[in-house]
Amino acid sequence: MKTKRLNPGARENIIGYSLIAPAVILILLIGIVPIFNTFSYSLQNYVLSKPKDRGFVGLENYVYLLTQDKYFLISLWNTLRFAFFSVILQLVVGFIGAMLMHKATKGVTLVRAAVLIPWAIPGVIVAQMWSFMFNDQLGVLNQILMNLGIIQENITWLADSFWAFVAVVLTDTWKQFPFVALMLLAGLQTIPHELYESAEVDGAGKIRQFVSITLPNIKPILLVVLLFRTMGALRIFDIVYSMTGGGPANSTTTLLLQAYNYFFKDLNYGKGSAMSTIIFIIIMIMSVIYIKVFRSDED
Amino acid sequence: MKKLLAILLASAMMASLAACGENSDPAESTPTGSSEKEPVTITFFGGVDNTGTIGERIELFEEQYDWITVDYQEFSGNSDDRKKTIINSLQAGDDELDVFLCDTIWVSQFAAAGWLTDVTEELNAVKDQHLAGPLSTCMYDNTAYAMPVYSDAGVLLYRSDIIETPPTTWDELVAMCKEHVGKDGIEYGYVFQAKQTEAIVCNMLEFIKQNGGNDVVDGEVVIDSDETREAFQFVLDMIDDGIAPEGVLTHIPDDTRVIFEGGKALFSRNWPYAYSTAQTEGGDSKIAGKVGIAPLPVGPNGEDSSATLGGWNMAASAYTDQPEASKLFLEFMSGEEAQKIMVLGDATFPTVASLYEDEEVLEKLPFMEELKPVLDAAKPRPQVSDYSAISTVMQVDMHTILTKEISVDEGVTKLAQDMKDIIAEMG
Repeated sequence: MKTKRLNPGARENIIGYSLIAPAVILILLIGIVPIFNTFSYSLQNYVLSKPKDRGFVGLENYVYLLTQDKYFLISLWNTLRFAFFSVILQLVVGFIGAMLMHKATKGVTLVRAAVLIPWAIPGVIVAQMWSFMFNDQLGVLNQILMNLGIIQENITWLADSFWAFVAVVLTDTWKQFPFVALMLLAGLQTIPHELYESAEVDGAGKIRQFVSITLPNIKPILLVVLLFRTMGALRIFDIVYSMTGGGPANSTTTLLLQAYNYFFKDLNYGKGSAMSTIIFIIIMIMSVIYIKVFRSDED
Repeated sequence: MKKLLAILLASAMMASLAACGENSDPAESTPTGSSEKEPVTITFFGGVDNTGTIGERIELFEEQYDWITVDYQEFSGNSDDRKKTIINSLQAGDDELDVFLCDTIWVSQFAAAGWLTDVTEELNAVKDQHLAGPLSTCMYDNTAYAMPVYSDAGVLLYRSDIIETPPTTWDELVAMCKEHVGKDGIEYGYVFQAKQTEAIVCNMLEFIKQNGGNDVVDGEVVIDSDETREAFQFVLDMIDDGIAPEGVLTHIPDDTRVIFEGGKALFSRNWPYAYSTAQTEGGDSKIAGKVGIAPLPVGPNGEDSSATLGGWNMAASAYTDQPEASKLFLEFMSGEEAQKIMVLGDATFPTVASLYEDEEVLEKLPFMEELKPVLDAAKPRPQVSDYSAISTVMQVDMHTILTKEISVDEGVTKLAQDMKDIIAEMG
């Protein structure tokens, strides 16, 4: 009898493939299939309350959203500026947090666990907590400002388009900065101490050390964080939904809130799916840009 | 580094556990044959049982029909949140869900999707017992798809310890507010709800109709009128004059309830539920026993105290595997006996007409007799085939006017145009 011998390399390949197969199948099922489904819905006139009218309409839903939808442009603009400001703020606050935790000597474990709390709370609950704080009548924020004598009468934060936007950005920052801080802390901890010691011997100041040692060393992790947070920020929904409902006068409405309105208020799965696909494409483009930057940086 | 990883993993687990908690498993229903004697279970999606009256009614039902068990699933959150959960089940054609409380504004949409069981026969049998307004919210395309459980209409709550006779016109309301604001701990004259949600639509349509305006008549948009402009100007003036806090632009009914119960406001527009909570001793309310309830006041060009008609019906899923038991539950919950339990416990408006003359009800809630005309005159929101689409543009355009992003004049013109566009799109 002749046994077919596989060379060791091929055998290793088979083992490798079979080991990752479960993960790949799982991703296909929970990732790729829904994306494909959503895309195919987006090419149909698919309104649940009009089952008889269902049919293929090509790009009609997309054309409608881009040219006729009253709220598409404002929600796109809001989503982009929300992503821009909240990601920058989260990076800054997260970085400061990471530096503090890195330097701290006492009670580090406790601080690290405590800092995670906001991140572990579901978004809707975070939004409710902050809504109470921003409430014009009962909110602690007005109370504090009043006691300090900074304001004379209650400010209705969420009825003002500027402050409502600020409130949403701050709330999201509070929820998300722990993720940034811990990721960056992990990055900081991989930098060997010897680098700083020799820099000191060479007479480099703190700022020089930060620019020449800290930044280059955590750059890869910084970009990963940036990618994750941008993707998250572009999908902002729960905080806006609970805090402002998209108001005042639609000044905080976002793409995903509009998609939600199409899906669950109008039962219009065609337009809702087209909106979701557009969000998906925007996130894809952003990711590609980041990854390009990341790659060119490694070279 | 290891420690850090552990923390990261633990927190990821916490986050995912928290997410899991949101979808608790609905209990399994027992499959049965057609025999009546064989025990069956029906699953009922309802609101939170704050006052215990839902449990009480279910118990009574199970006593009367000992072969049926009701698996009651409580859902918190507002109408939109509940709608999302119910849609998820219905559009999957899931037979888990049998019956549910259905907001009056969902009926036409759900019926058009083919998700509701036809109950025309059952409703026709008891038609004469119910009020006409709530009955009309059960119909779609001349077929009944739900049975009324309770009705809602905006009412004026006032501090009966300060105000003797409630105001009947806007002018009287404003005069009383100016007289009393700043005294007796009263900070605001009138609180209502104008957050960019369904709340602003319900409230503004009331102001407009109180002033003789209207929204949609026979499919024609008639909202572009002087009466509408006056209504918006009146609301803006109240905010500018400090009669209403600017915060009303961010408030939903529960925010209003908290301010009023804190004794800070002289008048409040709310749904009747807020009356019973404000009058409850030993709770959060600081004004228990000091609250009156009356029809909403009328504007200078209006004649009717016009309240927005709300309320909830009971509907059975088209995918139920227990149609017989489900229909029996609908009939029971809509019937006089069950509604009486609810009226006495929750002070909601019953849809069964005889309860407005019921001695026990009138003894506990004497205002019911007086408020029946409010309910009779309450106006439904625009009855178009796709209400949610028209509601969305109304929410945004109305909020744009009240936040002064646009002048009243231009804003009303835009509101009317957007509503026309949406109706044209519906075809």
